Amino acid sequence: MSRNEFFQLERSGPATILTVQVSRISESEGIEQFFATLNALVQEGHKQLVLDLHQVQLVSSRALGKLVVFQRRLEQAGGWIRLCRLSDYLQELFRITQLGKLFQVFPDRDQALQNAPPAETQTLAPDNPAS
Amino acid sequence: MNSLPASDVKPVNQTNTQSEWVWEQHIPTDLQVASQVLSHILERLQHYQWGQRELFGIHLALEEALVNAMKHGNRMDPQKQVHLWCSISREQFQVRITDQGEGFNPEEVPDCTAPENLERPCGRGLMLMRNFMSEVIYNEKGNQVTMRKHRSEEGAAS
Repeated sequence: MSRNEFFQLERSGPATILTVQVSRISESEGIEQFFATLNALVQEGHKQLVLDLHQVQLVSSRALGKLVVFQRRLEQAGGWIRLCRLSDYLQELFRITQLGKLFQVFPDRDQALQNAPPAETQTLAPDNPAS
Repeated sequence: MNSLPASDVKPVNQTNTQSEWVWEQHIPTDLQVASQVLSHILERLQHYQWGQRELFGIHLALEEALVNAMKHGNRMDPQKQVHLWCSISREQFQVRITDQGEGFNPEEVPDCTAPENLERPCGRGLMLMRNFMSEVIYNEKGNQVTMRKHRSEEGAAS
């Protein structure tokens, strides 16, 4: 397990569980660094991600937009991302924005991991790295 | 305002009574200062016993409006400022945010919940502001937004 400013990392089989350590993912709280760190993790080979959001109180519209782009590029690179442990307020945010249709959201880590596809079937696409 | 450096924020007016807190500031175009302003206003809302659910909505709407003013309005020009007027009571939250930009037409912002726009990275901020506030009004030029939130029964702090 390792730590940095934004995430606590844990491995679970082929998947990486990233527990977000900040309470706000927003423009006023270093959103560029947040996604740069996320992209760097993907470049290091963490392409099957469970994002645990239980400590997050707020996600701004721009952060949601960046998450949409991140997921699209990660999938193009053969990876996937699942979200779990959203607060009631964040769940409402995903409902209002209709983003629950784009993201796979689970109540806890176990369910997020159980619904993960097998890792060995993934084919990486180096020409389309998540960035 | 203790948490903001005097060089960053020039106080214009502050009225603090038991029934209403009114605050007016010129804020530099700086996202870190925006974060401090947000925290300060949220502290005052808690002082007036606003509940967690409504704090979440105001936090989100205020963040969107302040960042819009700095990024899209002032285009992060450090020579430009954002003017903020805010009033908080137990019954109502009001804020007026004015930037020094060219303005925009909010009617031209596409519906980000439409299926064809769902994967677009932009356009959700205005919708979230309208969703979480009672009123969101832009001036004709489009460089000033006024938002109001009336506290509902369930918004009272428990």
